[in-house]
Parts: sequence; structure tokens; C-alpha cells
Amino acid sequence: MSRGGRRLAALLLLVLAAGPLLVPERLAEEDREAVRSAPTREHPLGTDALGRDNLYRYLRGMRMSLSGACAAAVVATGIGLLAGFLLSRLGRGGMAFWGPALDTFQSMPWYLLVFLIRAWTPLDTGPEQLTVILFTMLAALGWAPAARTVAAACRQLRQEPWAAFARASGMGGAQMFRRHYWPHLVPLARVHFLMLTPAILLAESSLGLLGLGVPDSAPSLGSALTDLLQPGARWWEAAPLILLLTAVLSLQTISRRSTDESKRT
Amino acid sequence: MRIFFILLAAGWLGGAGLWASEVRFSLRSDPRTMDPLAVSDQASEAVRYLTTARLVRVHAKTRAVEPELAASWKLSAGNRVLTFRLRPGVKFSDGTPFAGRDVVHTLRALLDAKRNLPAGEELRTLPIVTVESPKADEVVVKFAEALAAPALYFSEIPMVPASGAAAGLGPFRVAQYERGRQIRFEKNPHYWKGAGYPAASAVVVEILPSAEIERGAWTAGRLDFLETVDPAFFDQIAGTGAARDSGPTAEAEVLWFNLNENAPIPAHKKAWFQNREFRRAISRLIRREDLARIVYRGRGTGGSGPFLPGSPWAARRPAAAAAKVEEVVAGLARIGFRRDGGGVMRDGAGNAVEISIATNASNRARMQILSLLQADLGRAGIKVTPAGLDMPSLLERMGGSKSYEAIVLGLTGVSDDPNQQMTVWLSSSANHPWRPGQAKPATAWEAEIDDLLRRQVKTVDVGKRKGLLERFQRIVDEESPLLYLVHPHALSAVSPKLKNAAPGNHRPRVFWNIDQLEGGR
Amino acid sequence: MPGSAVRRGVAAAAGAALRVTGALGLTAMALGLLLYYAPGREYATETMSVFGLAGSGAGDPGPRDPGAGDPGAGDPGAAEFVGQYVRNLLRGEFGYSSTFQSPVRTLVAERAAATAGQLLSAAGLLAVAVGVLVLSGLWRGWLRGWIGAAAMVLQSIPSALFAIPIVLASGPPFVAIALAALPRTLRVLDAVLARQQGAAHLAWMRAMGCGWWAMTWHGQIRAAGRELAEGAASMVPLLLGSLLAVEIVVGYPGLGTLAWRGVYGRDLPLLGAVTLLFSAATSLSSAVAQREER
Repeated sequence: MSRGGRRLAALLLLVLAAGPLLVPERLAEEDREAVRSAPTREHPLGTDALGRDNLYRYLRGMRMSLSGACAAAVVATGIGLLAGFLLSRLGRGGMAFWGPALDTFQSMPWYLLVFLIRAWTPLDTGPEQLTVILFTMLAALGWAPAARTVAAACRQLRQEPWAAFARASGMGGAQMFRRHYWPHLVPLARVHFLMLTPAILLAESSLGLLGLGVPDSAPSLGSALTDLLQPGARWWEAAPLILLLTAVLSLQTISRRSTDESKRT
Repeated sequence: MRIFFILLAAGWLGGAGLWASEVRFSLRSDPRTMDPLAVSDQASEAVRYLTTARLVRVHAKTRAVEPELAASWKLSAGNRVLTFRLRPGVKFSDGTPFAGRDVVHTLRALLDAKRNLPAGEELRTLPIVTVESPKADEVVVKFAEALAAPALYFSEIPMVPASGAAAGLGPFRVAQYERGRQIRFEKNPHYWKGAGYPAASAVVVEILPSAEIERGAWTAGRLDFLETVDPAFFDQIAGTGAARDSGPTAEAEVLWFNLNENAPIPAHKKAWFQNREFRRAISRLIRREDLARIVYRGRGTGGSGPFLPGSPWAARRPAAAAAKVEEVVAGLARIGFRRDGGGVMRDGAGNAVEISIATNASNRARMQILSLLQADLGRAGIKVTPAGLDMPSLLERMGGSKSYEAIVLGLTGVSDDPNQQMTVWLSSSANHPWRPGQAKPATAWEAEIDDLLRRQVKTVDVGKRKGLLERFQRIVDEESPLLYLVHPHALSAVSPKLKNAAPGNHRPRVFWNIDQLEGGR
Repeated sequence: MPGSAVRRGVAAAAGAALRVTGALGLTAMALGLLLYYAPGREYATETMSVFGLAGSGAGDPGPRDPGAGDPGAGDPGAAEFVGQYVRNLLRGEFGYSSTFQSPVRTLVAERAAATAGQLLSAAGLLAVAVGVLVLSGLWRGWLRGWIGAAAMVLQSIPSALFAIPIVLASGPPFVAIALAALPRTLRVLDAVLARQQGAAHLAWMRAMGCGWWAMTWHGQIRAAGRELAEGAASMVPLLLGSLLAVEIVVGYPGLGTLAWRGVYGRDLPLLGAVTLLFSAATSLSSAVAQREER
């Protein structure tokens, strides 16, 4: 992938993140007299079933989903790093337990948890808080694969001759981590972050499509995508899908480059 | 090679329904039971409708009680004795004859309080003393007191054989059942209406679990009709000649507040909800015509009360219209509510008026209603938080923990018949939304509603009965425990090829005359 | 040495079995806890039939029968509940599904067959597509770049969306599952083949004048058999994920819709059984895919 491609991808992501700044705030309100309108000068992508401006909803949804996915990916990668490092110190016996534990974690019915979280949280929880909870849950789901690779990398690093030398010279665990493991783990973490972000973005969209995503009153890409599933969907309502494709492809472009680099290092 | 292709085409045709008169429709889920007396879900009810028959039935259009297995019936002894005269020569689908003993067997099973069969729920509310069959073609039901129109109560009771065999009296019988896929019904060779009935050679019911999938099957031409369609799809097919709007139904979307004394919600909120002026103020803020216009795309009617405006039982009063915001705010001021400088409505103690309204999230229309309510109530500085839950969680909050503030749900399975409204309005009922299953009525007005509804069952004189129901509706209006938001229209899709279809606005909407329907493939 | 190979094989099988058993045990316990704290488990009853679910798509939660795998009756403590749940599972009692009014075991067996059919068909379709790509020689040069790009676009679409054209065309769900799994398959294959490119045995084969077919089949595909198997195993969680989404959207009566109905109707015995099955598949696949980890 060329450097130009990567720059273009980064620029696109920036535009997507800043999108809502480009449309006036007054479009946030529902206009009961302009329900399901076709594109006009005032509403370039028409309005939805409740008379809310589609362009505003889609751009706001994009930003919400993108920032949520990034934040969740940071959290997941962080947990993965920590858990992976700790797992690598457990040895064979520990892995005998943690291997199945990670499998269990990955095969639980998380969609049930989405219901349960809504059922457990107080009914007056606002849509913004619910969004945060949803992305936190997605972050909690994403750490397991990162933990696996980090644990494997740490075990490999420990077997390197220089690591044995450092240990023999009396270097403590914390110092070892800071001086030797950390510089090796950072590129790995970056790759994981860049791979997790589109994955979480897609997961949120899938949940939205199944009707389990962020509540409709807090626009997200997932809830915007459901417009496409409604009978009589119009072509301009495919815009959220194009936004999603743009975001995920941009992230993949950058992550590929980063994966190649990390392989070289 | 050509022969192969012809064979392939023949196979395909066979799969798509080679039988010209076959009728195909769909259900959302598998029937939970094939026992006609144990039915409690919509899918099982549809199967029961196809495979069983009743003594009498209510005509889907005229709403008149018509003979079915009973050729005639009469009331005697001052409306205390009901005698059914059975149609001669009727046979079950297995060829065994149908007689009075089968009716007695069915009714006794349903009246048995210990067995508590769902099909007998309404029947058990009647003061029935005995059920007997003095002659093979006669059944006599005796009541402890005079009843207005007791035959109506027998219109949904399927007759089952006393022998316990799995045979029915309906136009069809189950030929093949593939769980999760489809149920195939074949003609009942002994159907009581005789030659020419049922018109269709077979009925195929596909199990299609969502509206999207149903629409896919419809577009692919696999179905002859859709019992219900949402307004968006209705608009989409409006040009094809398949869209049928049978007008408003008695079914309604309703809003209620939590009136349970022991509800785990803040005391000040309980005090608001218990105050009828507060409930009425909320009701007057809701722009019902917008709900009908926007959520139902004009295919709904603003809710006014338990009966539709055209109903013979409806009180003579206009539909509830939204009042001016200033008027409502002034009304709220009289009971101590004030708007602060920022426009936020506060109660006498200074608490901001914030209400969470819950519904089942999977219902898009209800979620849209919540969005509109948010804006409507927001005009008076009242903050609404919409809460979309899954159904079991919602039911748990409604009937178990009572941990909710307000709920929007639909009343289904109710018709214009006042007796069908009793499961909602009687204070002792488990379905009494705002305060279910009361040992004795918590308020004087609930006690009065109980009394009025119980009396109307026994009132033979139509004028007097109307009077009782008029008073009932006035209380409903004054106390506003249940805010009727919108009556959705009965929308269905019927293929122009389906013969004899005449959709109505009671359930079943399209297949009420299933024995006359004929597919045109 | 054959002896040591057998020993290694037995050890690997034992390790995998241990891992699957461990995962199943933990899943059962975690599930028990989740089910215990799930609100509405006793209200999955349609106590209020008048509050219709018509048009809700929610399915209708039905009257509950006391299922063996569902000790929801009474009010036991969490530990007691989980203990009872796990004991029932060990006895092979999966309980009774209130949604379908049928024993869970029968239902799962029925649906597992249907789902396995779809998964196998999807795998077959993938194998044919990939086989055509590789064996026809298209998997080279500029076309390979384009295929890679197309795969990247496919990977950016939520799998539930693949199912929509399938619904509209009333097509079989395995096509959507295969589409959802195609990008990852191509990636795994690409990585494996790229690693093979520089291998010494290929240079030797080339020097010996082996033809393209022999190079591809014997030199690359057969030599990478184990890696490919591991790659395939690593795709199981992805396949299960897209299976769920696709089945739900298409409404195919398989395990995915069964789990979905289990969630919507709070049919906990049903949901539990399907989750255990998914857990077994996931842990088995990771045992195969991550042998190098241990």
C-alpha cells in the first residue's frame, strides 16, 4: 500500500470524525411537517420517518460510532496487553486454565448480555450513557485475542538470550517489562488497536442491524443502517453503508501498512 | 438433456404449488400446542381456526352471531337456560359422528377450574350451573342468573371429540408439520358444510419469524396473503392492488403510569402518577393525530377510549384532542406544578418532572411513539426518557418488580365486545395494567368500574347496558388510568389471485373465511 | 519416528479434550450465573396475553413448564441454582423449551443437523471458489491484487447485510455465510501460499522441472495442509458469528435462530444448550488452531 493511500485514508477518517461540524445544529430537531422527505436543498439526504435530517443523523452517527470504536479499541488493547503479560507469566499450568477460560469468554451469548444490560440499568439511563455501556461491552469482548497474541509474544521474548542475560544481571519484573518487553509490545499493540477499531465498528453496526445497538435517539451508524432494512428504502438511505465502508476500508489500509511494518521490525 | 430440464421444471412447479387452489400464508412462530383447548398463542390459534369448528360464530363483518355446528339455539326460563340444537350428520375428520356428548365433554373440560384450560377463560366467568345433553342432538346449559347474550361466549370454543382422538371439525386437518418451516393442511373429507367446502385443495402455512422475511416471501410470490402488514410496507405495495385497509380496529396502543403503592420508585413520582389531574394533563399534551399520521402514515386513528367512535357501545363524546400547551401548564399549576426560568417543569417540592417510558424495543412503531411523546411532553418542560427493553424484562417490571414509571404497549385480542374488555379493566385481573391482580379494588373508581362491567354482562336490556357502559367510559375519561394513543388500522396484503377474500378488521383478518378462499396459482 | 509421532498425536488429542472439557465446564458455570441473574426469567410467561406481541417480531414468550435444566421454580441461591444447572447438564438433561414446547435435546439435534448442512454447504462453496481461483492460475499477478481489494471491501460489510439480498431472492443462507467468510479465507490462503513461495522444496521442485500443477498441488497445497487446517479452525468463531447474524435475518430454522428465540423468549434451557454447543465448537477450534501456543 502506497504512502499516498495511507495519507488519503487518514484524511478520510479525519473528515468522517469532523463531519457533524459541517452541518448546522438546527437540523437536529424533528420536523413533523417534513417526514420522509426526498433530498432538498435544506435536507440534502432527505429526512427520516420522524422528520429528522438524514445527513445530520448519519454524520453524527458516524462520529459517535467511530469515536466509540476507537475508545473501545484502546481499552481492549490495554486490557489485552496487561492480561497477555500476566498470562505469559503463568506457565503451562496457568495456560491450562486460561485457555479454556478465554474460549468460554468468547463463546458466551453476548447478545443476551446486551438485553440484560438494558434490563439491569435504570430506565432513566439516557441514550448517551447506554452508548458508553455498549462500547464498554464491546471493549470487554475484544481483549481476549489481544491477550492471546501478547502472551505468546511475551513467552517468546522471555526465551531470547538477551532476556536471560538481563534476568541473570538481576533485573526485576517491572524493570524488565519497562525496558525490554514494552518496546517490543508497542508495535503489537498498535496493530491490535488498528485491527480492533474496524472490528468494533462492524460489531456495533451488526448489533444495530439486529435491533440491539445504540438507542435510536443517540444516532449511531448501526441505528442509521436500519433505515436500509425498512420497506421502501430509498437509494440515498444507503449513505450510512458508504460511510461505514469508507471508515472500515481506511482503517484497514492503515492497519495493513502497520502490520507490514511490525512484521519487518 | 431436454427431458432433464422438463423434469426439473416440473419439480420446481410442484414445489411452488402445482395445485391450483392451494392457499399459502405465514405465521411468525411455530404453534406452541396442537391441543385446541390449551391454545394461548396466536400461531396455535390460527391452527385451531383451520382445524376445528364451534357451536356458533361471530361473522367477521356483520358481527352477528351465526349458527355453525349448532343449527339453532334458544334462551328460555328468563334467560337462564340456553339450548343448542345440533346440526344432524356432522362427523369429525376421522369419520366418527359428532354428538351432544362431545359438546358436554368439551365444555366440562373447560369449566374445570383445576385444569384451568386457556380456552375456557371467558366461559369460567359465567355462572354456569350444569351442562347436559338430554338428546344426542341437544345440549342444555343452565345459568344461576339471567344473562344478556350468552351464546356469544360459545363462539370461540372449539369442539373436541369425547373419545380423545386427535380429530377436528374444521375445514382442514394437519397433513404434515415440519417444525420451523411449514405446516401443510389437507381437506377435511368430512367437513360439515358438505360438497364444495373447503374451496382450497390444501393450505400451506410457512413459519417466517420476522416481518422482513415475510415480505421477502411475499415479494417472491410464495404467499397468497399477509394477515397484517406495517404501514411502510402497505405504502410500498399500494400500487399493486394487493394492499387492503380494513379501517380502525378496537386494538390500541396505550400508555399508563405505575399506580402500584409498593412500586420501587421515588415517592414524589408516585404522588404525580396517583394524581388524576396529572394523568389528564399528560393525556392532553399528546398530539394523537401526529402519532396516527407519522408513525402509522395516516393509517391509524387517534385513540379516544375503549370503544371505537363508530361502535354501538361508544359514548357520545369527541375523541381526545391535544389541548394548548399554556392551558395544560395552567392546569398543572393548579395542582402545584410550575415551570422554572429554564422552562423545566417542577412539582411543588421543586423536583424536575422527568418520566421514563418503557416499551418493547423490537417494535419500531412503539419506539417511534416514544420519540414523539418525548417531543410532545417536552413542550411543557417535561422530560421523557424512552426505554426500549426486551419483552421478558418488560413483563418482569410490569408484573413482578413493578419497577417502572410508565409503559407504552398494545392491547391486542380485544374487540368491540364489552365482555372482551373485562380482562383489562377488572381490578382483580392479572392483565389490569397499572395495578394488576388486586385482592379488592384499591380506589372507589376502580370498584365502580368492576361493578359496572359485571352488571353489564347480566343486563338483558340493550338500552340499560349502554347506560352502564356510558358511565364506565366517563370514569375512564375522568381518571385516565389508561391513555388510548392510537388505534392502528387493520392492514393486510391480499394477492389479486386469491379468490373470495374479504378482509375485515377483527382477527383473523383475512382467513376468517378460510373454507371459501381459493388460491389462484 | 512413528512412535513419537503417535505419542505427540495422543498428547495433542488429550490436550484438546482437556481444553474442550474445561471450556464446557466453565461455560456451564458462567451460563448458570448469567441465567440466575437474568431478570424476567420467571416472567418469560405470557402472563398478559392481551399485551400483544403482534408485529413486535419479539416472538411470544409462552407459558413455562418446569424444565429439568431450568431450576427457576422457587427461589434458590445463586450457588444452588448453578449447581443444580450443572448437575442436570451432566445427567444429560437439557430441559424443556417453553418457546417450542418440546424437549431441548430434540430441538437442538434437529436444528444442529440443519445448521451443519448450511455450514458444510458454505464450506463447499468456499472450497470451490478458492479452488477455482488457485487452480485456474488466477491467483497470480495483478488479478490477485484486485481479488485482495475486493475481499477487503467484502470484509467491511456487516454479515447481516449479506443476508438481505438472500432474503429478497429467497435464496439459501449458506451463500451469505460463504460471502461473509470469503475475505478471511482468502487472507489465510494468501498468507499460507506466500509463506510457501520462498520455501526450499519449491526451489528444488522448480529446478527439477516440475510443472505448474505439481508445484501448486504437491509443492504448495499438500505441503501447507496442516497450516491450512489450522487456518480453517481459526475461522470457526467467525463462521459461528456470521451464522448467527445470517440465520436471524434470513429466518432459517437453525441453531442461530434457536439461540435468538431463546434470548427473546427468555427460554433459558434452550439458550443454555445452544451456547454450550457453540462453546464446544469454539474451544475445539482454538485447540486445533493454537497448538503452537502451548
